[in-house]
Amino acid sequence: MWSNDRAGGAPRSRWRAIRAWIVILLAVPAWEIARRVFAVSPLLMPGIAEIAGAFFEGLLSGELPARAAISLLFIGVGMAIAWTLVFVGVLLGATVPIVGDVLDRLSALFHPLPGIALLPVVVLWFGVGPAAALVVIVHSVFWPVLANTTAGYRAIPETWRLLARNLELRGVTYLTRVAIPAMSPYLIAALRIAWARSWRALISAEMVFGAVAAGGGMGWYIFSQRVFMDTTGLFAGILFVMVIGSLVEHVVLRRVEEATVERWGMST
Amino acid sequence: MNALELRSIVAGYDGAPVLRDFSLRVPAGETVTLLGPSGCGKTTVLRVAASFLVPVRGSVIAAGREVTRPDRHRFMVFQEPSQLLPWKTVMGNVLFALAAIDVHGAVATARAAAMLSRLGLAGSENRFPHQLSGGMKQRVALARAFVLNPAVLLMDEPFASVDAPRRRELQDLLLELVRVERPAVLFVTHDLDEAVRIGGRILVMSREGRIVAEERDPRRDRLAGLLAEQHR
Repeated sequence: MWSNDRAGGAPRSRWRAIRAWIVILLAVPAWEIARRVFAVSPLLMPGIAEIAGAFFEGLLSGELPARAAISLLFIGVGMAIAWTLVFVGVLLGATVPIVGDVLDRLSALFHPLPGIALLPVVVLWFGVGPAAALVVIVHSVFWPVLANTTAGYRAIPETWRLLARNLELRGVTYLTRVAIPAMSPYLIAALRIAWARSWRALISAEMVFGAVAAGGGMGWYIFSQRVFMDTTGLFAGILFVMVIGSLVEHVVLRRVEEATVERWGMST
Repeated sequence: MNALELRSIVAGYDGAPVLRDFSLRVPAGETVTLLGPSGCGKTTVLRVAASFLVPVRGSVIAAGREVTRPDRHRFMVFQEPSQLLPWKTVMGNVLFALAAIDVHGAVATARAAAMLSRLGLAGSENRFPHQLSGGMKQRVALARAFVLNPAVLLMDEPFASVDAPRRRELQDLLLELVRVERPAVLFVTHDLDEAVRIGGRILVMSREGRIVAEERDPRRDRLAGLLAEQHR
């Protein structure tokens, strides 16, 4: 048998995580051996020490955090726009049936469309500036969040809806006091998807659009390192994208989950 | 004066009537127990009484005036222990109801704490519903209902999901609260023993959604016979 999650509880799961990390870290000497055995040019495969050096230099000089901050700022703005549109859409959809039906159909059409496929149209309509990057983020976030939020809204147990009606809670009061907390498992799942999709979409978009703001974000940083053949900087940038992505996913969103749905016994 | 009156109600779901020309009166401060087999329309009566379900015909009169929308004066206690809001603590669930009637701050906390204490929940104020047993959850639901001091309490088999000893405790608690607070109660159950225990005026419903008997002085053997007839 490969695994049995329930067998040993927390210590076992910690040991499995350590074991997985040991296997992953074996890639470091494997990388070094491969580049030396096959005499690969440092322009293609720089040494681990050089990559680590470029990573920490970028970190300490503040360049990598500054680039990441620009990307995160764009994602924050894009997410705020997308989530606002989703809430308006879900509320309208819940009160005006035709809006709900149209959004359902549009969601079925646009949800599977990758943001990158829209880039040529976005460039044509919005150019390559900040507006274009925001359009890509909003597109990446809006449809999956809409699908999850709609599902969450429809899944609010009837008893809670009746309780709210009994207490004469309507409109915004109902939304903030009952509907949003009741939908929290769906909203947190949507937040995870939104983060993953917007992070990927922005990094890709920046590689196509170039710098979307002064200095550019992480995507632009990686792209420019390749243009200037700074392969160590390129790998340092990729590593930082992975670090930021993992930190948000496994630390920030995990904390949100622990403080809400897990604490309330609502995790699925 | 009647706290609640259902007049010639015709109601159902998806065009299929469950109640046909159904009438019922719950005088202020009295308890009416609706006893009947599963699926006879007891819950539909409560839904109409709470104005959760709009009747096709007939009217609901509360405190002398016709009502068409739910309000906090006719408060429902549901069967499901999941009726508590899981993101609120025990205290939070009671305060949630008080906030809806604009009672906030220290006054609300004091009222909620006093009610929770009467229901034997002192010390559990900061626990979340998922940390409570089924019986405790229903106690919180009772606290949330009684703290509102509603004119009519609508109870949809509220103790059906707890085991027999806990059910007896909850019934005792309810009877004590009703004796002191004197709300009008419309209590629905399919359990003969529970109907006898809750007492008041017991109405036996047929499978066809009609009241076929009324007992003011409930005798278990007589009610058992009436109920058995409805199961045939």
